[in-house]
Amino acid sequence: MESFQNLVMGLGTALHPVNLFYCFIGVLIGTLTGVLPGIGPVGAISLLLPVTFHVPPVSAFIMFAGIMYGAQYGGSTTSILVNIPGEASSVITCMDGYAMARKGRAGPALGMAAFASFIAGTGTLFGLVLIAPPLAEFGLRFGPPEYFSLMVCGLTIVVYLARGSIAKALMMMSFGLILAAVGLDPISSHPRFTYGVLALRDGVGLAQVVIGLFGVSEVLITVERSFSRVVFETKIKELLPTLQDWKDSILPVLRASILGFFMGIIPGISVVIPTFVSYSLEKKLSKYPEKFGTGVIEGVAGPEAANNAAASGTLVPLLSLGIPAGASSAIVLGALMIYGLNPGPLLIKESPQVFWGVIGSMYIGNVMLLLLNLPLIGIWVKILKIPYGILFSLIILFCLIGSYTINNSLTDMYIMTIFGVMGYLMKKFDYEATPLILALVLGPMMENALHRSMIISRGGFLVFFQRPISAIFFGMALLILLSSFLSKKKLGEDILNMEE
Amino acid sequence: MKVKILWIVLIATVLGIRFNTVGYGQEKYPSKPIQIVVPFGAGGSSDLFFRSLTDELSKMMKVPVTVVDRTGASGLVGADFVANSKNDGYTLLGTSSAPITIAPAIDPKDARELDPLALLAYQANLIATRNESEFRTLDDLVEYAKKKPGALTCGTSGIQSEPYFALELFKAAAKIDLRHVPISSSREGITNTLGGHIDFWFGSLSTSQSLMKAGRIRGLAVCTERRLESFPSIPTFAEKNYPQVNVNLIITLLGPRGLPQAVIKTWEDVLKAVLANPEVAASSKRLNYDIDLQVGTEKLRAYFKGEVERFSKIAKQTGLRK
Amino acid sequence: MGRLDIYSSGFWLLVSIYIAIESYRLDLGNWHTPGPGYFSFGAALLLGVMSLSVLVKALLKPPKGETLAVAPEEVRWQNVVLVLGSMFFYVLLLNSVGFVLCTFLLLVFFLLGVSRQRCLTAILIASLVTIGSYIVFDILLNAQLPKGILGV
Repeated sequence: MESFQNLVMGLGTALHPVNLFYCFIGVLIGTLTGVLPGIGPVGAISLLLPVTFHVPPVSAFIMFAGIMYGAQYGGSTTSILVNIPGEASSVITCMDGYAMARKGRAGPALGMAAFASFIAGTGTLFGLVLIAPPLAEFGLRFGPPEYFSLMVCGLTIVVYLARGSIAKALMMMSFGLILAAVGLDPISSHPRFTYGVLALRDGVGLAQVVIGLFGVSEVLITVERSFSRVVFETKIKELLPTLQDWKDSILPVLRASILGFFMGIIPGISVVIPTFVSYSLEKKLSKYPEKFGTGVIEGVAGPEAANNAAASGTLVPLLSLGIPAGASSAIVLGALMIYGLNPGPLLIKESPQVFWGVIGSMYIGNVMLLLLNLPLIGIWVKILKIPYGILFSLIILFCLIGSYTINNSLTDMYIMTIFGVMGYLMKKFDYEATPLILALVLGPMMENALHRSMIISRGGFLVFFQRPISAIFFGMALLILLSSFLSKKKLGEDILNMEE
Repeated sequence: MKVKILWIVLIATVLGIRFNTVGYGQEKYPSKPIQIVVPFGAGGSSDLFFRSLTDELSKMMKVPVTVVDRTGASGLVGADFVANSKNDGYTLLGTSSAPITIAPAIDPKDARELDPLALLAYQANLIATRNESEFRTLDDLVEYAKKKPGALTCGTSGIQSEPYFALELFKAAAKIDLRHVPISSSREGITNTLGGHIDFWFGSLSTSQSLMKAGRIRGLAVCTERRLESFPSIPTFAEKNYPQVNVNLIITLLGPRGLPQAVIKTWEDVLKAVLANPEVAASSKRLNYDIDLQVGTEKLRAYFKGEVERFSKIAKQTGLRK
Repeated sequence: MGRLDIYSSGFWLLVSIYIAIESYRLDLGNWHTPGPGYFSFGAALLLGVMSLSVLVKALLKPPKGETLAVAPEEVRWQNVVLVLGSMFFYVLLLNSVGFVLCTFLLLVFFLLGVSRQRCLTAILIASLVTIGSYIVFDILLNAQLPKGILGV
């Protein structure tokens, strides 16, 4: 119960007018950076860092937290509107969100994305307050072997992501893994497939690939047809989700919230993977899995809830161990040090005002985001009314600048353009991009985990089956593969696709 | 549309935009904004260090001094960028010394033409283990490792990092074998140490200091000359008779080859003044850096050359360099 | 979609062979110390097996006519080529010409050359968008876009 008292105190801190102001600024900038591809919350926070030296640390921290979760809200906007994921965590939102927009249902898609984020974001905060410390200790039991088997398990969900041929989805997955191997070898630092390009030593950037494969290729596939054709259904049917949408979405949102939260707890798992898992889960549970990818609202609601829930889940190790889960929380912690605060396990004890103030501000910030995003929907859908002859040039420019701003690098722009060509050809030849993205996300983690497991176990492969958590994941992977290949329906679908 | 404009105005006011007027008069240095390129990610420890200095530097230089991040290839992308910029003193490289000393030691092709201006500060590297571990001192470690060679594992953030070379120096000095586990993200490294998946972690102070304060992680030895003010109970490697294990994280400022003498002089004076400011020292301390200013381009070049040679030897012994 | 699959899976088969050879040359290592090449080697093997299976299936099934989304005569290849070509040129010239001028030219080219807007509309939109994106990205977000000959 002490937690609740603290939380009330935190809410009190957060409701202080100055803090309310910084919270609002934070979520506003967060939404903006979420909408713009390339520029992420990390860039925005580091930009604001010197400006905030003169405000109280709790206000600065509230603002930074606002930027972080605000970006999760904004990320889905461009996915739905123009098929460019603003953040990697909204890649999967493109599949059904963009399809909904083309049917004239951009409003409900954006609305459900906002509501799902809100429900997941606030709901999981309760979980955070109640059960964080024991969970964090559990997260520590994930060593390299556990990560490796978790990644293997994650890759098997490709069979659920595939809309068409499973064989082709696996091909794209393998290619994604090959792309993930580009760069310096994690052990010997030997360059692989870099062809002397300095920028490739760090590997092929996820954002460049995503912007190219999704954004540019979609433009190319559209401009090859006459501009007079209507790309988007311009008659906007409704701005907010209907009652039926809610009925379809509420269970996926709840499931995704729980799933995302628990996956977020494992340190190092990004907010990206839970979105893929949630999507596959909903597709598996759905009465009409074949409709996924054609604009069903569950495909938006689930993943959008999952990424926000995972974002609060990542606060668990932060809260009890002081270990940030990703780059953006790491920089916030770094900023704390400049203020003379001590990020880490002792933060809650030493500066409860700051800690609980931030947690409290997250409730308020989520409400603000909802209030901010719902009216914005009306403006966003108007963008789709711009004639495509003009809109396409804006999208291309957006893609170009977005890929540049990641590292201020021209090479990234070339890479992005090349993946645009590739995405276009993939569409022509009927290959899907999502398995590739999933593999590109999982690949580096998987390789690192395998390397480390092998060093730790001295080359003993059995380590993956001797450790219980790891063995469970391998079992799950096996089950997923078996169930999908044995399921007559899926197999039949596959053959049907082949015969087409 | 109106709302969009409103947004922009709002954000503009928050950011307190400064429109920088670009002047081309070269008669006096500095006469236009100076950018310090940091080749590591925003929020990284060298990035934060330079960002915490920009206010003071701008005041002293009387022009805006800004930090720009150009990340990639373990700092080489940024080093490359600065080496290829005009040597007028308006584009400088602010970095930990790894891209200058370690990268060329592993591959001589990665050496870049740069003039060192100063060493500014250093951060201690240390070897640590989790609190539950049976190894309570460095001697425990050495003793066990001698009995069972290769049984223990030690993580660092990879062979491009200072701690890796510190680890190799330690292994050679103590004549022991520890299996090296490269974990590029120090966050993951420390998590793996806490979970007991690796036995030791060799890394910089900022990664482990809060966990050490909380009693979850125990430092066994630090690479600095003297014991740390914040953790006086941790012995130095030198005390344990391994004085050669002294590789710390050193922050340095460099410019493109052939900087004008006036630029070098200006920076030396300004840095002396800024780093002597007790407020700056305090804020560096909070970032776990100790100020230790050393200037003199020729002297520093010789120092870097020595470090590259020392690291090359290790790289050759361990087979990193073919 | 017989013929299309034959082309594409054939292409991927070649890719997988290339990657496998290159990975092998990178050194596969052994179980104790995995080398730099083994991960991509494994992925290349999977890619090869899968593309082979698609290829075989496609070869066994007689082609039943193409199922391209749009009939070939309706496809405006020139648009695709123009858009891609100008993107490459944009990146090529960005550093020397500078963000503002380069972006303006790109947009004018898109609006006039690709989507055939009226001249005045094109110039108006191009200047507005150029200025707008410059303000948002360069000034507000400090994105350090290349300056080029105009100094902006």
